[in-house]
Formats: sequence, structure tokens, C-alpha cells
Amino acid sequence: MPEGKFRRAARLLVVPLLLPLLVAASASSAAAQGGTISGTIIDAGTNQPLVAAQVFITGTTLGSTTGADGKYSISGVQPGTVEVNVRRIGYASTTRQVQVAEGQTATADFALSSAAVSLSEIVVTATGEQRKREIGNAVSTIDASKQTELKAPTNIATLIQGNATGVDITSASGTVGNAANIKIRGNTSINLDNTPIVYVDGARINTDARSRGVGGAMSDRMLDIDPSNIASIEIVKGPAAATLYGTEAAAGVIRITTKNGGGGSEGAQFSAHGEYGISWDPNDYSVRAWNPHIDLGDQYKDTTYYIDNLKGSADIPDKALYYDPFRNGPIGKLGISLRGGSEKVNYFTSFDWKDQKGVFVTNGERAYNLRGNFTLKPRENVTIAISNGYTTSSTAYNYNDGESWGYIGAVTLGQPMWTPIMAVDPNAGGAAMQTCPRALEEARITGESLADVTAATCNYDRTFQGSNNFARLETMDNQVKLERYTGSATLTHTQGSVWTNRLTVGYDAYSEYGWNMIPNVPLKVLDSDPSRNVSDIQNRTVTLEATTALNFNLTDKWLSQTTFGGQYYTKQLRGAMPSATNFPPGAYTVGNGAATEGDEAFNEVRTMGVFVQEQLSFADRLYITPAVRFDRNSAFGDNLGSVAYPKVSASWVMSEEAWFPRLPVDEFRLRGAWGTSGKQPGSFDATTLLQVTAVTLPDGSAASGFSTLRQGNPELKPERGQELELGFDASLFEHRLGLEFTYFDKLTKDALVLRPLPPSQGFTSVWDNVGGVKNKGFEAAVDATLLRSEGTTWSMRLAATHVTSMITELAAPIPVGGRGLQEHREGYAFGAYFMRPVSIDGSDQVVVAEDPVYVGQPTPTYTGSLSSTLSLLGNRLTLYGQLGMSAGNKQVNYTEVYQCRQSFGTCAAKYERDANGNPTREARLKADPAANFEPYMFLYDGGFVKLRSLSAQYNLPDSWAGRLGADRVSVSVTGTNLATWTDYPGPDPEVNSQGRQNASQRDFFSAGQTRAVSFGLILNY
Amino acid sequence: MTIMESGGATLLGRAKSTAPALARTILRCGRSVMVAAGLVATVACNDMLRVDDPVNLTPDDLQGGATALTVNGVRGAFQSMFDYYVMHTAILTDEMILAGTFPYRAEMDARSITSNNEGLLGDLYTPLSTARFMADTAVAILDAAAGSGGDEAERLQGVAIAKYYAAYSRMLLAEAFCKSAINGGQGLTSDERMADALTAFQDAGSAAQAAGDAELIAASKLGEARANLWLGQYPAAASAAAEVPDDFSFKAYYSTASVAQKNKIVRLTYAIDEARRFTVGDGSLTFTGYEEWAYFDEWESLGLLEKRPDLTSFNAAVPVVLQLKYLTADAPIVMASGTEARLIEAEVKLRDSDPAGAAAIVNDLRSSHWGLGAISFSGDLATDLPVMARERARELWLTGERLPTLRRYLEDGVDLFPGGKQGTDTCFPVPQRELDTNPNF
Repeated sequence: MPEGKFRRAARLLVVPLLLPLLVAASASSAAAQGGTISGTIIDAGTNQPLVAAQVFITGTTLGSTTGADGKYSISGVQPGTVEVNVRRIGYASTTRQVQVAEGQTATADFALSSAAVSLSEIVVTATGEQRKREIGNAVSTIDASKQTELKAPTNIATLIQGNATGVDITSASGTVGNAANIKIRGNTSINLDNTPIVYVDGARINTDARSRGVGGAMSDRMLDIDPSNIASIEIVKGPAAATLYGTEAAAGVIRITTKNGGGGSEGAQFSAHGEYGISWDPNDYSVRAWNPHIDLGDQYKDTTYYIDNLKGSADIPDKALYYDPFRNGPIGKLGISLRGGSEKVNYFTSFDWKDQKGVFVTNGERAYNLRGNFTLKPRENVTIAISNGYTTSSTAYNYNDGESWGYIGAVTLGQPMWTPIMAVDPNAGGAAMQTCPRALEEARITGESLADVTAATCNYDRTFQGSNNFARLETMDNQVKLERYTGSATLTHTQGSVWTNRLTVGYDAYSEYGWNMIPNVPLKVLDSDPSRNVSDIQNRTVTLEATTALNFNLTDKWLSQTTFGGQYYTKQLRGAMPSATNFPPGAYTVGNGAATEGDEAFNEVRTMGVFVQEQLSFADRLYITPAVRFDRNSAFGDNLGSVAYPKVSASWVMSEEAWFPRLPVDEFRLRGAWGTSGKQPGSFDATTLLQVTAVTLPDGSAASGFSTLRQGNPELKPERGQELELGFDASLFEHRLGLEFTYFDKLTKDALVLRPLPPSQGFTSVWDNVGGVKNKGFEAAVDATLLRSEGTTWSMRLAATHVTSMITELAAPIPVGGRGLQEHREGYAFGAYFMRPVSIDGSDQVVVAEDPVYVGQPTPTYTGSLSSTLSLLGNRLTLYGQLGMSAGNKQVNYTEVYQCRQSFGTCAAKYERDANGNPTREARLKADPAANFEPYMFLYDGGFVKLRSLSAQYNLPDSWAGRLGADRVSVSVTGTNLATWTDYPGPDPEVNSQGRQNASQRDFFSAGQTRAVSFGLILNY
Repeated sequence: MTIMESGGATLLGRAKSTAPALARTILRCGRSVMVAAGLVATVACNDMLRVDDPVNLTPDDLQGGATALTVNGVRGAFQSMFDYYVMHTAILTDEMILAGTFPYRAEMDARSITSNNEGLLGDLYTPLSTARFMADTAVAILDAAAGSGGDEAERLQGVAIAKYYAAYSRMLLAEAFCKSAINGGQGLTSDERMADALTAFQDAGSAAQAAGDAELIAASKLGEARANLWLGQYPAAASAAAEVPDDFSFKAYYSTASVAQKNKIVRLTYAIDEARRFTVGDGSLTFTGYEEWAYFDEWESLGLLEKRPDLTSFNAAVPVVLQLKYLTADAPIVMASGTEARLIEAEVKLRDSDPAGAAAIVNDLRSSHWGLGAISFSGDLATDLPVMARERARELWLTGERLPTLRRYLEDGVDLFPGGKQGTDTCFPVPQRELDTNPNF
């Protein structure tokens, strides 16, 4: 990092890190009065202490959170009998009366029973913290700490995957650092990014994905968040729930809460964790079937043979060129954390390191994360939560994932007839010499000397597609260096139980410095001129939020809570993109290039909104909540004022009605919500834009000109998502069985579409509110504790989501992905595959029908997961497994299409055959490139079932831990992506060579998902 | 940590008694005030929402003429289109063949082009339409700037340049596309569009006269000649061509200063960093059959071509034959020249039953340009037009002239389009996008 940037980053960190200490100093002087309650919270099944359990005194603002040792302490409690309530994600809430005396400490320990459905669970909403029972919509909550131990996720996408209904997550490929696709309840927008917006501790963060110029691989800023720092994740799924998040929330909201210190633990708790593992590529890439006109023998049709041959057998004369590009990619993680504090001040600090190598030799990522979270309570009714996260990482990408001249392309398109081999002259014998199969064959046929034929025909470099052998590919240098700070401060002020004010300031800034370089070395990738393309992106996101909530009783049973709020949000991008070609060896900065170019980028969006919400509750079991938010945005058209987003929701805890049967139901509630939210246009989409171009004048000099870019639309407004969801939550048999069901019907109106204009008009497109998208379906989850006995617990979770997604309004079809395969078309699924039937006319001409025929959709209609957790040996040993499934979608193997078009014979396997087994003439004509029919020959069912995770975690006996001076020592082994069951014949159905995309989908030289086994160690002190 | 038990049953009896007076006051009258204040803040804070774009221009930036910027825009739009135009018409006529893998180019190489073809839309029709639109828009901008106090001579020359490019773009629409539209208007046939181009060239000539620009006067005259030749108005064609000097040329210029300014013919056929997606057919088996450029042997001996078995084409399946006409990425492409004018005159003589007169012109070019011996014409068009096509091909190779030549000769019953193809297309269809979005077409 440049020194200047480092200093700025250091200053950024120092201020938020020191500020809490100053405040703490003043806070410590405030002596508490009354009594104190302290205790330990443990898991009733495992007897292990529970971290992050929330403890509070009912009817007051007093509360605390447990530390890693499960301990808490609350002071300043009014003497007398008080009610202590304890809540935690995944556990049933519990309450107890505790007697407190002035100046004394009362002990109140709790053992919480696990429960999948707990209506008392606290979730963070746009208006503040609320109990689940009050909210009329479904919110998925993930216990990130627990899942991180069970799954050993490498990023947040794999952490969430399979743990929240309605959320479909796929990684674009097995390339380390490639983007993830996260969709909640289907695709909402036709042309805008459907990735949900993300908050970390109240700060909105940037989650842009950006192409790295090596095919479809993208960097993804969503993945910067280190899973080991996350305490919990809440997923707000659609417009009905996300109304108060405003103009950008139609695709859903992910709220991440990072870890904090306990409020009352005994001293500081130190924790260390480490992990080491190996990943490898388990996939079989396309079988070679070289041009049938040249018969070199069956062995050369087999990619496996080919790759094996290149892995260093004695037949390969030049191993430097033909080494094995695959490797076992090691994964290493180390982390330390310190948490603790008092009721007045608590803290969580951590440092984490991750080094993950890809399975291809030039791919990998190294990241460092530093976190410092502080919660201060300078006064009894004032809480300040400060969150600081700093990340620095370096990621190296390689050619694959949509690029034919990458590693996978080199082997699947390479030509075995030029593979270097050692062979004896078939005509004259003698010592083995370096030759190639083609020369050997010609020598056999013609009787010519092998040496002569070799000299005339062998061109070893043509072994590989585009002459890119592995040694050349290894010289390519594509990296991204990241520096990122994400911080927030939230001040909460309460006045009794009546008035709560909250102010949040969030700041997220990163510097993403990337380059794509072909160095000036003798053996260059593509045999190309040396070149260096730099992108230096600076992104800044600022969030300001303020809310005030007022509670008062309308009657003895009716309670009102009115919340007013406002938000200002700005996201700014600045970028510089210098590039150069032809620089001397060793001096590769842009300024050293013989020819240089440069460009800058700028983008900014500002949103301002206010909202008001009124929650009416009856007897703490029926809640009715209407609300409305008004937004203005810098990207709206000039003719548009503010936009209003209304909502209303209801939640009824029926199980607390007197007439409701007590057994076997513990809790049951009905809920429903209707609401709207938006999706804003791009920064300057409403404006007619002309782009500046460089023009060559007759004298050879350069000058500026302009050209058309995009027609503006002063009427442009945000697209509007509207959703109705209905569902229920139930907990039965003493929390042994949990049921969740949600039906949703989501409609996007006025969808922003980049509407094509007649090309003859000069501008090719205009943004317009002319589309409609409907997503309808259900989410269901069953959580069952099958066994709960002394020392043994076995639970299972089955979750399923069904989504039908359809374009309901679109004036004219919009091609998707640029290969003539997919279209957005009214009345069909989002980005559906269409085929134009091909026939042969009387003149033997290929006739392609104008009207397309629907042949499938790229997004799954069913997704699901099955998880099982079995705890044995006094709950010291935990066995965990998770299956993931996806169905209803199709995947096109474009690698095979490409091979087909290059006469690699993949078409031949698809030909209709006549009685003699020869391809029919019609079949061959259909395979003509002009028919563009091949993609449909290679369109397959994309469904799969995967064993995503299998792990075993063992907590060593306390005596063993004690010898290490630790409170807990845990060892684990985790397998990831261990098996796949699918009908898809390509390497992996769960890839997208396009990176993060709404609809464009294909497998085109994509690196399949890797398989990994890792070993972990956790030490708690 | 502070947790508000906002709806808790145990709160019900306490909230009332603990509510402070301030809160009660706010509850009574504050809500409406806060809602109103919020709305006012939302509506009033335009400044906080104002974002300027420093990257792109808006039409307001061009008010008052900005003559150089405007005219340069016209040149730039045309130049960035023209090299691609040349290459795509080249693979339809076999001046070049495909050595890449893009299916939309395979359609063109195979003369079987669907209206959904991506390249048809993205590489041909849209850039050409944009170039035409830019030129027409520039004329409007510069006309509106008349009398605004700027440099009038510069403005007049700008108008002449823009009108020439507007006419030239119309001519290319006519020559390449079976039908075309302008500004979302009705679809015109090639002949109708060429008549439109002819009028535009005449208008450009008048503007060039007003500007006193001799180069543009000659260029416009040659445009008139080419349009008249297409329309079968041979005397007018010869008359206009006669006003063009032998050494005249008008070019599209390129540069190595940036990727966008490079001549894409070089990038796609010669430069190593584009992996040679186009080559010249040497008779080898390709995607679309055995393809051989009709004049391969002669041109190889003239040094126009070079077989390079040591190089690999992009698809690694077609032998590489380099074109040696454009060797560097800053090589200009001739749009109009005295040579073309002479060839027009020769063809008119041929059609006017003066084969000797035609041969005299052609032989002069053969001798002076290539050192080739004399030829003669027979006087039979069916025999002579293929010979004339060969001469035109050599002189005007890779300048976008082969397609209109073959289309014109096809009207005479002489089919010189490459055979052995899957398709029989002789022009590019209108992209489906235009058909779908232009109700007037």
C-alpha cells in the first residue's frame, strides 16, 4: 500500500479505536446504585456456556450480553423482585423472578433449551430492535458463530448457503475470489442488480462485483466480510419487509451483526482458532473428441489421457512447458480475539488471517482482518455501539471462467496431434526422438523419415488452444489489492420505556487497486505485446440514520409505538484506469510503456428518505403495523418528486389466546404483510448522455469528439416492488419441533428496462419504466429435535423454497447474455432459454424459424437443504452434515458448443444417426454454425444434489483443556462439497461463467466448484 | 446493551406512569409536525441530492456550436465504424474468410445471415446508423449556430464535412443492407436509399463549394458518381467521376494512440494480440467449406498476401494467410480516390460499348500501380464484368467496395458471389431490433 494511503488508513483506525476508551474513562466514574444481578447462561443440552445471549430486566432498559464464558452482570437494578428474561438465537426464551437487595449481588443462572422457532428472539429492523413476534413478515436469522464452527465457510456466501429459506446462493465458479450470486425470492429487476443491500452493524456497505478482465471472473466486495467476525445475520426478504429501507431494498436486505464483548464476564476472554485444509478439483472436464477427419487413435480423444500425459510422464520432453496446472490448494486460517468488559464498557477485538490457494497455479487470495467493536454505556439510558472493521487482501485471478484461452480451454481445445512425444522412427527404428502424433502417423502412412516429417509438421506450441501452454499462462499477472474500512457508531438514548432515540453514522470506504498484466518476458501469454491495464477504484458509502420511537398505552391492553425516522445515504465511486503496452523487461509501470492510455470513472448516488411507522399491539399478542416511507434520489428523473412506499403488517400470537390448546403447541402465530419498496435507476440514467471519444485527424493528431451514449428520460422513476406474504410459525412438543411456512407473491411494477430504440434513431437505448416481473412461491422449514437425552442431541432441519418467476410485462423481447440463447420475453420465465427450430427446405438450405420456442429457464424453481446435527459423548462430539439441492433449471454447456464449432466432434455425439450409424444429413446441416442450433444440443437439466458440508467437532475434556490453561479446546474436521449427484454431464452444474448476473447463465470453460477437507482448532481462555 | 421491550405485556402497567411530560407533549402534537418536517426536508434538500457527471457530456454542453468537437465527433463515429464495416462486408464476399469462432460472423461467412445476428446489429447496422445520425445531428447543431458569433469559415467547413459523412453513411446503408431506415422512419430499399444518398452528396457538394474546400468538392463528386453508378445513371456517373483528380484520396484515419483508434482490420488480421480472427482463403477446408480467394495466386505473387504456416489462426483450424495491405494499426482506409473515379469511368465506357476506352483506363492503372501487362475487354458484358471485378478487387481491396460491385453485377446477371456456401445472401438483412422497435419500418 502506498505510504500515504497507509497513513490515512491508520488515522481512520486510530480515531474509532481510541474514542471508546476516552468515553469509557468518563463512564467509569458514574457509580451505579441499587443491586446487581449476575450469572451464567449455558446450553441445557451440552452444558456449554452460551456467548451472545441477551439478558435484560423486564420493564426497564437494563440489559447485558454474555461473553464467551456465558457470564453476564447487570447493575443498577432497583431493589425488590424483578423479572429477568434471557434470549438467544436458536433457543427458547426463558424468564425468572429474581430478588435483588440494595448493594447486593443476586445470582441468576439459566440453562436454555434449543428451539428452532422462538418468537421472543430479537431481530434488528429499520426502526430498531424488535421481537420476532411483533413483526408481520418472515425474517431468517442465522447464528453465524455456530455455523462458522460447523461449516468452516471460506466466505459469507457459503456461510449463508442452505441456512435461510428463500435465499439462493451460488458461487460463479471454483475460482478463489470469484463472485457469488445471492438472490432472495427470485430475480426482482430485469436490468438492475438483484443482489440484496447489506448493512454491517447499521452501516450500509458496498457490495459491487467487478469484472477482472480474465473472462467472467469478478471480484466481489460482498465477500470481504470475514465470517469469523460475524455474530448473526438477519435476512429481510422482500418489499413487504423492506419497505422502510426504501428505494434500493426491493431485492431484500441482509443485516450483519458482528461480535461484541460480554457485559459482565469475569475478565477478558481470549480465543484463538486455526484451520488448515486442502482443496482440489474433483471435476471431469469435457472429453476430447478431436476432428473425426484425422484419426490419431482413440487415446487422443480422451482429455484425461491428454492431461495425464502432460503431468510429467517420461514422454514429455519439455516439462517446463507441460507441467500440471492443477494443484491441491491449501487453505490456512488463523485468528485471535479478545473480548470482555463490564456492564459499562465492553469490547471485542480480533485479528484474522486467511490464505487460500486456488486449484490452478496462479489463483489465490490472502486476507487480513482487524476488528474492534466497543459498546459503551456512559449513562444508564445511553448506549453507544462502535463497530470498526479493517480488511486488506490480495487476490490473484487467472484465465478461465468464460475465457477459451485459459487453463481449461488450453486442455479442452488443445490439439493432441501436436503433443510432444518421444517415439522411434516406424520406418527406420533407432533411438526415440521428440516428435508429435501427427508426424508419427504421417511417417507410418507415407514411409518418410520420421525426422523429416517431424521437422515439416510438428508445431508443439499448437498443442494448446491459441498457443497458450501452461507455462505461458503462468506468466499472466492479474491481481487485486484491497484496503477497506467499515465502521459505524450507533447512539441509543432511552427515556424510561416510553421514548427511544437512535442515531447511526455508517462509513464504508475501500480502495481496490487491480491490474491485468502480460509481463515482458520471453514466453508471454497469447504471445502478445507486453501490456498492463490498471484499475484504481475508490468507493465510499456513507449512511446517516436517525429514528425516534414513542410508546404509550392507549388502553389497558392496547399499546402504541410510533417511530419516526430519516435516512441519508450516499455512494460514490471514483476510478482511474491507466494502461500501457510495450514496456521494457522489469519496468512495468504504466509510465514506462511505449504507448499509454488512461481513463477515469465517476459515479454517485444519493438518497434521502423519511418514514413513519405506527405499531399497535393488543395484549402483547396481536400487532398491527402500518408505515410509509418517502424517498428522493439523485437518479430520479427531473420530473419526478418524492416517492412513497407504504406497508402494513400484522402478527397474531394465537397460542397465547385463552382458547388456544396448550399442548402440544408451545407457540403459534399467524403473520401477514403487504408492502412496497423500490429499486432506483443508475446514477445518470435519466439524462441524455454523449460520450467523449478520441478521434484521429487527417494529420495523425488526436482530438476530442463526441458520440451518442444513451437517450435520457426525464420521467424516469424507481421500479416498484410490491409484495404480499402470509405465513405462520409454530413450536411444538416443548420446542422439539419447529415449523415455518411463508407464501409470498411479489410483483415488480414499472421495472426499469433498458428499452431498445430503433438503431436508425441514433441512440440505441433508453431507460424506461416499462417492465414487470412476478415472483411467487413458498418457503417452508421443519426443524426437529429427534433426540434430546442426557449427553446426546440429534436435530434435523429441512428447508425448501419454491419460486416461479415470470416476466409479466415487456413491450419487446430483450436478448440476454449475447449468445442468442436467452431472452426476457413477456409471459415466460426470467431470462428463459428459447430455441428457434431449424429445418431443411427443398433446396437443402437450413431454415431457421423466426418464432422461438421456450425450452427452459436458467434459475431453479426449487431449492432446498437438509441439515443434521448429532451431538454425542456428553455432547462433546458434534457431527454435522448439510445437503443442498436445486431443481427446475437448465444449464447450457457452452464449452461443448465451442468444441463443436471448432470441429472437436462434440456435435458428432449428438447427431441423429441413420440405420448404418452415420449422422443424418439433416443432423449435420442443423449443426451448421449459421443455424446457431448447437446451444440447444448442449442444454441440460441443471438440477443437482450436493453434499455441501460434513464435519465432526470434538470438545476435549475439561481436564485436557485445563492442562493447556484453556476453558475450552475444540478440534474439528470439515469436508466441503464432498459429493454431487446430477444429470448434468459437464464438470459442475453450479457455475456461471458470467460471474454475478441477473439472468445470463452458462458454463463456458468454468472452473468447477472445488472439494476441500480442513482441520480446525479452537482455544478459548 | 439496551433493549426496549416495546410491546411486552409486563410493560402495560408501567409505561403510562413513567411517561415523561415531554413525551406526552410530543405524542399529542409532535407527530404531525415531524411528518411535515420530514417531508419538507425531503422535498427541499435538492442540493443534497444533486450529482454532476464529469465523465460524459449532455446536449447542453454543445450549445453554441462547439464546432471542432462536433465535427470531430462525426469523424470519430465514422472511423470507428468503417473498419468493422469493411471487414464484415469482406467475409460476405470472401475478400477475407473467418478464422475466428463467433457464430454471428460464421453466418456472414456462410452467406446465411439471420435478422437476430448479433454482429449485424452491434458491429454493422447500429454503428453505421450512429455515424449517420451523428453527421445529421452535427449539421443541425452547426446550422443552428449560424450567426452566433463564432468562426464562420470554420462553421461552414464543419457543415460541409458533416454533410459529406451523412451522405457517405447513407451510401453504405444502401450498398450493404437490403433495406434500411433513418431516424425510425420507413424502410427503404437499397435503390431508394441510394437515391437518398445521391441527393445528400449533391447537398454536400454545395456545402463544400460554400466552404471553398476543394477536397470535399472532389469527394462529394465521387460520391455522386458512385451513387449514380449504382442507380444505373451511367452518364451522370462518368460526368461526376471526371471531376475527380487522379491523385485525389479521402481517407478514414486511425492511430495507435489508443485501442479505440486502432485500425481494426489490422487488429483482426495481422496483429498478434487479436489472434487473427480473419484471414484470406487459400482453398483449405473451413467452417463453411473449401474457401479460396478467387485471385489468390496472382495476389500472392504481387505481394498482397503471405501464407504463414508458422502462425495459428484464432480458431486454430484455418491456415493463416496475412493480408499485407494494412500493416500497422494506424494505417488509413481509403474512402474515395482518383483510382475509384477512373474505374467508374472505365466501367461506364464498358457499358457504353467502348471496351477499348475502358481497357485504356484499366491498363494505365495496372501498369502504374502493379507493373502488370495490358488486358483487353471483349465487348460482351457477361465476359467483361468479371474481368472488371478483378481489377476493382485489386485496386479497391478491403475498402468496402467488393459488396456493391458484386451486387451491381448481379443485376447484370453476373453472379460473382462466392459459391459453395450454405446460404445465398447478397446483402445484409435489417436487424430484428429495428423491425421490433420501429413501427414505421
